[in-house]
Amino acid sequence: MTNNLKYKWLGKLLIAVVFSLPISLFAGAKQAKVEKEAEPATAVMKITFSETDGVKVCKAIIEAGQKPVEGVEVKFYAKRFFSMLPLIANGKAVTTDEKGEAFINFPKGLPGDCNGTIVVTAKVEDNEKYGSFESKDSVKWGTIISVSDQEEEWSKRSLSATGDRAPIYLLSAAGVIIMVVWGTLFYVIFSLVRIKKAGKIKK
Amino acid sequence: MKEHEILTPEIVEKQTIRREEMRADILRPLQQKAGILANLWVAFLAAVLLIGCFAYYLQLKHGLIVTGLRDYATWGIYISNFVFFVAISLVGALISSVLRLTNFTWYRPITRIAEIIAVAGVIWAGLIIIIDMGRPDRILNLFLHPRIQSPILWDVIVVTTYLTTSVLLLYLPLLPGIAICRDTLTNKPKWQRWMYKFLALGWTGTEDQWKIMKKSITMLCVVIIPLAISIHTVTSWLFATTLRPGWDSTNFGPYFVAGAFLAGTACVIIGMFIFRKVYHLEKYLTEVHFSNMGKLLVFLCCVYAYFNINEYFIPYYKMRGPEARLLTDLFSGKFAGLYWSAQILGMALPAVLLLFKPMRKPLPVTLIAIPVVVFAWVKRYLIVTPILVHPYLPIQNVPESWINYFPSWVEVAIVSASLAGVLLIITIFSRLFPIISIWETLENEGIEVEDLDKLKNEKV
Repeated sequence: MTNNLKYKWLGKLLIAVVFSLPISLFAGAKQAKVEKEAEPATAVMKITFSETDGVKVCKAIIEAGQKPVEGVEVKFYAKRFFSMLPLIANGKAVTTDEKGEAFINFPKGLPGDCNGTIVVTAKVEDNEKYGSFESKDSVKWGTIISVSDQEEEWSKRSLSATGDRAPIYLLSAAGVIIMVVWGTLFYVIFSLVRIKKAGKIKK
Repeated sequence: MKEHEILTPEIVEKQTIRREEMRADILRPLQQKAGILANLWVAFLAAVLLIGCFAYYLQLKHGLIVTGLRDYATWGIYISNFVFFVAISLVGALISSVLRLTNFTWYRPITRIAEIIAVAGVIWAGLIIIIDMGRPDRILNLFLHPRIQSPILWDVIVVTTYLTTSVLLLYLPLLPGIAICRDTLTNKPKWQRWMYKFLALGWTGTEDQWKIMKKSITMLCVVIIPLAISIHTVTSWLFATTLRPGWDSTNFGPYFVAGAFLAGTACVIIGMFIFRKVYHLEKYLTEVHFSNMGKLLVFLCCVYAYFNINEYFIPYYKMRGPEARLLTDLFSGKFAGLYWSAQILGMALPAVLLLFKPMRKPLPVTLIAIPVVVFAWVKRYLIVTPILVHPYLPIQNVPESWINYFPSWVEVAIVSASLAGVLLIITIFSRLFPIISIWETLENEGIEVEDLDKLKNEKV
């Protein structure tokens, strides 16, 4: 009787394992499939620069599997000292056309480095199909700011400059006020000496 | 001597008697030995000052970590106190210069009280700003590497200049008084007699001495008005040139100046009442003076209310992002109690109460002036601290102690010591020198001391 009960329990366990194993394997495979499906497709972005009739155009071309990708939003930035400067007002995005191209007119007068080089970055952010990716390239379209120019700029007198480069108007105004007020005070202090002398003469 | 006046021997005798009578009244507190209460008062102030010195020693030893100041609230009650002292120091210019140059005469017996409050206030304003520095030795850098574009340098220049001008404006009209002390208080200790002799500058009341003194006083009165306005305007610019919600205001200069005149006038009223009672000067600090000061307080409350409306109502109308958070905290948040008390008890209610004549009697007007002074200090706290804990960029991921400012015992001890220091300067001054200008008060009664001195010198 006891042995019969043992076998019954073992039989039930065996049936459970037999049924649960394929189910768990199937579920695992499905999950792996879902995970595989969630991975974004790979897209490649390339930046090109062209100039026609004095108009400078910066273009981003997106391809996936060597086919152009339409309808992807691209944002263009220029690298600055501390952050990225959006090349379109308010950081708006440009959508790629049927050729997979998104382009902007490059702004005039943007300062570059000592050679006029500007590093342009095109960014795709959180695209449903392709996720986030970016591409960088440099172009010599910037205004050349030489070290000497920068030094000259920094050596200019201004309110934000160092103490020895204070604006002349501030120095002269402060100087005149201080001289007038302290001149009066020194005159009054000198008057104390005169008061003392005036008392002595009387004596 | 004025040409249109004929000084007959009878008039001269009458005026001389009056002068002697006034001298006796005003010098009586200096001749008498200080009572036990007076000595206890000085001992109390000295004890508070000593505790403050010990607290400052701890601050120097361990750094500003012993205070409640942290990365956000970098200015606490030290700077509130600095602004308060600068504010009360403006009253010297108001009473001594504005009223003098506008030909008012009633104010004359109270000039010295106003001037000593101004000097004591500005001395401690200068000291408290150094105390606020974690490394006071670095103050030298301000002079070694000056940057004229910085409001901090403007403030140092203007505080130093105002202190010098205030001391001169206190000292010059005091010369005849010091000479009286030199000639009368001959029973005083040697050091005191030497001090009177040294400070009197050989004053004998010659025509030349009177002429030079009066001319110098007029020059100082002209200089001190723009200087007084500058000192508090520059103090306000320390805040207004900093990009913070609540400080980013073009109204700050006049707002500070108006508040300063109000606080200073209230201080003078309290000073007048105490000296009147303690030194029995009822004959000189009359009910008329209290009534006039009460009226002046009403006028200043109205001016200050006007600037307050500009300062708070316009941002409230717009309720722009970070300013909205600050104003909400001030109007109905954790600072609401202090804010509304300062506005109502420190400005609105005094103005209404002082419209009634019985309220302008010495005791009521003094009782009304006390909350004006107390809440003037609170107002400076509200100008400094809540704004620092409401920066434009939201505060994130910082310790709790950085978000809320509460002064440590070290700060409270040092600030109390500075207040005691101001009172100690005023007390010691009033024990050594006449607290009422005798010659100015006599001029108010139509007696020219200059003429009497001239006759006396001619006789000699």
